[in-house]
Amino acid sequence: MSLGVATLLYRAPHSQRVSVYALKNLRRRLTRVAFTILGVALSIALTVTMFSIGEGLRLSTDSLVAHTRVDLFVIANGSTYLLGKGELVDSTQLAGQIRADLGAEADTVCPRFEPDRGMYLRRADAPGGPPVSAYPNGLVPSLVGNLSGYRIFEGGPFLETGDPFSGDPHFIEGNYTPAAFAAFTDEVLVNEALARKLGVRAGDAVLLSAHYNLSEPTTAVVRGVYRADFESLDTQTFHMHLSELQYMLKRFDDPASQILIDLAPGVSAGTAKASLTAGRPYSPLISVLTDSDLYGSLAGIYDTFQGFADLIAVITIVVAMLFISTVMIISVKERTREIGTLRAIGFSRDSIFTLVLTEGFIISAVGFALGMAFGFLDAWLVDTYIKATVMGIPAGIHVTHITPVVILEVTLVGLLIGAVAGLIPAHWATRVEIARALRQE
Amino acid sequence: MAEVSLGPGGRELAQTGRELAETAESSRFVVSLRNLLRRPARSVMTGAAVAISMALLVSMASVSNAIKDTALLSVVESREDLVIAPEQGALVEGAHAVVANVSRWSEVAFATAAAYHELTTATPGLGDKTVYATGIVPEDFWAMAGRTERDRYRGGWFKEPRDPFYGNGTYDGRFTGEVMVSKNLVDKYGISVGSALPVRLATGADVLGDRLPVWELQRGDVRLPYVNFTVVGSFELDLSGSGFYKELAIVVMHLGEMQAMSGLALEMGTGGRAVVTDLANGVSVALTPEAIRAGAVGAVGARLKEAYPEYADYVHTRAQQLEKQRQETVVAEVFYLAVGSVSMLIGLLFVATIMIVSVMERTREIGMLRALGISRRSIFLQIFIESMVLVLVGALIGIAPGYYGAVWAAGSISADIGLTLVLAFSLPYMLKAMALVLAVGSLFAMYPAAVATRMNIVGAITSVR
Repeated sequence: MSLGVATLLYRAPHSQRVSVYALKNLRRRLTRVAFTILGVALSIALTVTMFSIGEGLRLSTDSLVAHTRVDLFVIANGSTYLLGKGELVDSTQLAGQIRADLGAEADTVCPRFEPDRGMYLRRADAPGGPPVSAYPNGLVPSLVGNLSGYRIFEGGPFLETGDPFSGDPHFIEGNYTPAAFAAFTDEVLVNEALARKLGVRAGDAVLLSAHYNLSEPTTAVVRGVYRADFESLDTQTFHMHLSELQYMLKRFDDPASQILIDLAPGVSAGTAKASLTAGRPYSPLISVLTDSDLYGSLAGIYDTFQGFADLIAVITIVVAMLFISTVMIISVKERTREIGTLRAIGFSRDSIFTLVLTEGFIISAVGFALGMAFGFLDAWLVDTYIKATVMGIPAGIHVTHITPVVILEVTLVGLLIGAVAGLIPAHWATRVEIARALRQE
Repeated sequence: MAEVSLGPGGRELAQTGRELAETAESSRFVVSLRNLLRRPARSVMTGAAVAISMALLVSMASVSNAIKDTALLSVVESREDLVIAPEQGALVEGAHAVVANVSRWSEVAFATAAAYHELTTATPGLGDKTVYATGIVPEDFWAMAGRTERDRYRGGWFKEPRDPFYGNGTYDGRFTGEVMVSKNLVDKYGISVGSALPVRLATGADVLGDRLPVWELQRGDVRLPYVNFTVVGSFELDLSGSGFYKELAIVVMHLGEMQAMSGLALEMGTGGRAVVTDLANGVSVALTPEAIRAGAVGAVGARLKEAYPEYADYVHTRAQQLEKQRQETVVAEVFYLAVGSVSMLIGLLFVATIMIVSVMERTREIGMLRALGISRRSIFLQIFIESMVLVLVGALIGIAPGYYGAVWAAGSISADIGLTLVLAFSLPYMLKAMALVLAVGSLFAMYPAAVATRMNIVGAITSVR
């Protein structure tokens, strides 16, 4: 039978005859070929998933940081952005000084107060129901400028763009009286999670207090509902005017958690940072983080994971290579006599080499294609599953991300597997001695 | 097309056949080994692949288990039968009063509160450093904590066991100034036991005024209020390490002093009078052994919810806490286990493929064995055992590298997230892993064995490769 095939092939054009013969050989051993392809596909799929997780975390962090358009984060000296947040006092004055010192270099200088403790809200038209706690976020709408990172998808922004209460004598003198609430703008924006929990929509009124028993409350109007990239989907937050938040928490020292700066186009963050951190009267009181400082501290989260993922991928690839090369070598060994025959009727060593190489290549190529498909599916599953299960993942994060880099890396892996699968047995096949092979039983 | 001949190889086959027919079933194992050794290269390659897969599976499974166990350990070991643990920024108001009230209940052994807030310390030579301050009542915290948690506090402890500064509820008692600091503060900022640690009064915490020994430090052209604490000990963080959390430093203080420092004690009320708020992040309740034996946890939990309806959503039993912890780690667990399993699957696929190849090669041999009167069942068992020997040997070899891999992996994860992972690498655990691999492996081993038994005797004997 093999002689017949060989004779037939001998008359066909070279390239065509090699690939036809290779396919025929593979079909003769369909079970083992199918199993081998499956093994390669699984390992490629695992590699795709591992690489895509690393890329996903890296890119999401990048885009989250970039999306906020914050170029400089000014925080209290000695504190960090994520762990160990301090507070700046007299923040309005400080922001004004920074604004003046940066001049045209800064587009936006915005103090923001995010206290660690929550406040309590309840629908104004549902008396008696339990209040809901949520994290407040105080800001001055007109100072927000180009800064973003959140999107209002119901209702609209604050009607009052300034922070009128900050000019109120009660606030300036820091003498707390509930009557002073009358001078509030009484408007809040709530996030999706809080809107759902409270059962409110844009335009509804809520009771707002620093205390669970809703003592010293103010009645505020929900202007809009937002979704923020940096927040997890299950954290309840709301935005209000800076001075009103400070006053309700009885914080008369004008505290802020950060002052966010958006620099004018073309201004270097490093230079601006240097001009704030040395020689200014407020320099000893602040730390300044650039995008890349923040990114550096975030990157630490997934560096170790990336190392693991790479190691797992490498181990799996080694197993796959062992697999495919063993099966290929056995297949070549079984055909010693056949290869001897082919050589005897005039096939060159080169032709035999190409033939076996083609077989290895076909197995790895099919395994690669299948593995890529599995890998895409798996990456999607991992992303969906983790986002659905883990609490506290920021809305803007994609756990997995299949980028050209991932595809390139995995393709290189595929080529490596293919080379090992083809080259070793192909080389082995060329060493077959014709006479001995033909004598073999 | 080809004639049947018994060459030298054939005689060997006949020998094997006779042996198989004559000997007891137990010696099939020996025959399997010999068959595998007849093709040493492929057996070694397959065994190696199974070993590598096993190593990866063992490492990943141990790490995944360790993540789960470690997360649950502090809850399992502690005496916290019930907790009030508010979420979404909510706090327990009047925490000392809640503790005092709940402690009087007959089923309750004791209760204690804890609070967290960021505070800034002035570290010698290195300027300011914001730290996480935790406020506890030392004696009660110690009694509540589990063995593993206590083990972290080997480097000194508070002299004053109670919380004297809280006084009669107005924060006017004796100020101890005792503080415990995390090891990374000691290492990095040159703080040692006995040294003074100035802590800045949090912004907005100046309500207490002269009741705290406040002095001022110059920062630029501003003078900021500080209080001197004395370091009484240091402790290992369960969140520290070299990675992301390396900047996180923790100090532990007496609850009342910590509340006063961070503005959780009092706030300015209407008309400029200070009002006690006594805010804390959580209250832990330990029941008496009798109450636990009587199964009173649910009843006390219900009573807590009734007495404090504002925290009704946040009262959790130990089981509920464990469930919450479990949910937080389940993804990491599933992930590592899935990775290990996929790798094992590839290894087992390898075994199945090689065995199919071997069966095909031995078509004639198997045909002859059948012709000599060996039953289908025997052939099936023979091939099945061969596959299982490959799986077993590979898996056994993979255990040791798997163990060291797990130790290494747990080490790097610990260094990164700072959570010291407890690797549960016991004999029963290993046996469980082996049993799992053998069980799944046997499914894969069935296929080549089934292929071998399905052969037609005449076709097999007369086949030519």
